Amino acid sequence: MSRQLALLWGGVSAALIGLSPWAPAVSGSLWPCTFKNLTGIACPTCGTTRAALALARLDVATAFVHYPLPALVWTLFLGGGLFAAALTLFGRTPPSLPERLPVWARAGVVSMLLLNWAYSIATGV
Amino acid sequence: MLFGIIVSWLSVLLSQVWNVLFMSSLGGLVRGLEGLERFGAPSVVDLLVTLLVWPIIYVVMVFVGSAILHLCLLIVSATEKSEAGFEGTLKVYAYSTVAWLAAVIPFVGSLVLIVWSLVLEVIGFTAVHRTSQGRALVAVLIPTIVCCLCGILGIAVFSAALFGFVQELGGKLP
Repeated sequence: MSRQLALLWGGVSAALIGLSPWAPAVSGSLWPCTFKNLTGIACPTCGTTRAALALARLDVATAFVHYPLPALVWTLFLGGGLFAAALTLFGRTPPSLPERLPVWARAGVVSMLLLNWAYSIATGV
Repeated sequence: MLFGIIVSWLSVLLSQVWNVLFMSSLGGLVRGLEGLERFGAPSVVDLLVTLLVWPIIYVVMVFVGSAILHLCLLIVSATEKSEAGFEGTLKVYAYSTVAWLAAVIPFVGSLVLIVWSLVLEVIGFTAVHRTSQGRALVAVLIPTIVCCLCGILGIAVFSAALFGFVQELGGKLP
């Protein structure tokens, strides 16, 4: 991974963390999920914003119990960014992102998305 | 990235101007409908705050959006011959922001923006990642289908509500 990309990723993560105290103020102006409003069923990405908001107010338990996959993805995204930027700032090269995914990894990503959707529907997220 | 920030900032400014001009009157027509309660013109404070913090929002949005698209490209094996990697996806996504200028078109600007962005992204990913247009198109459509299903349904509901209102208005006219 290039130094520029690592620092940009770190900057984005730091910006998200820095803006998190203002997240509750934004939550009131967000649109509810239209798909869920109409069908009563969660959409595949339902909970992504709520997971981010729960993490922003440091309610880690709620984020992971109610929205496991989005919470995990947000945590990896923020942690990865800070880690990559820290490595770069200390003069080390961060590991490269994969150029291709093997079939099992691709199947894993799709399965996780479907499982998370099923979990959201089952728990009424 | 700077190019994207400037273009998207202009686009946000123009779309907010349209919102102020048109939605203050149109918003009153649909505000009573379920799910569209918050429909209406933004306040001047909202507008100024949006324009001030927009560069930060844009960079975060482009980075997260590129990460999602790159994952989709990886899923459909569109990056196998690529030498550009994630940086390539980021560049294409940032440059496709030029499509945001479609926001100057009132009412249908958002739809033009979506289609124009998709076309630019497909062309960009095909060139940058040396993949077929079919793979690039599938990769670009995955998040659109998964996420924008909600948006498409929202537009459908809004159109139906507007159509119903126009019909009702037509019935009341002498």
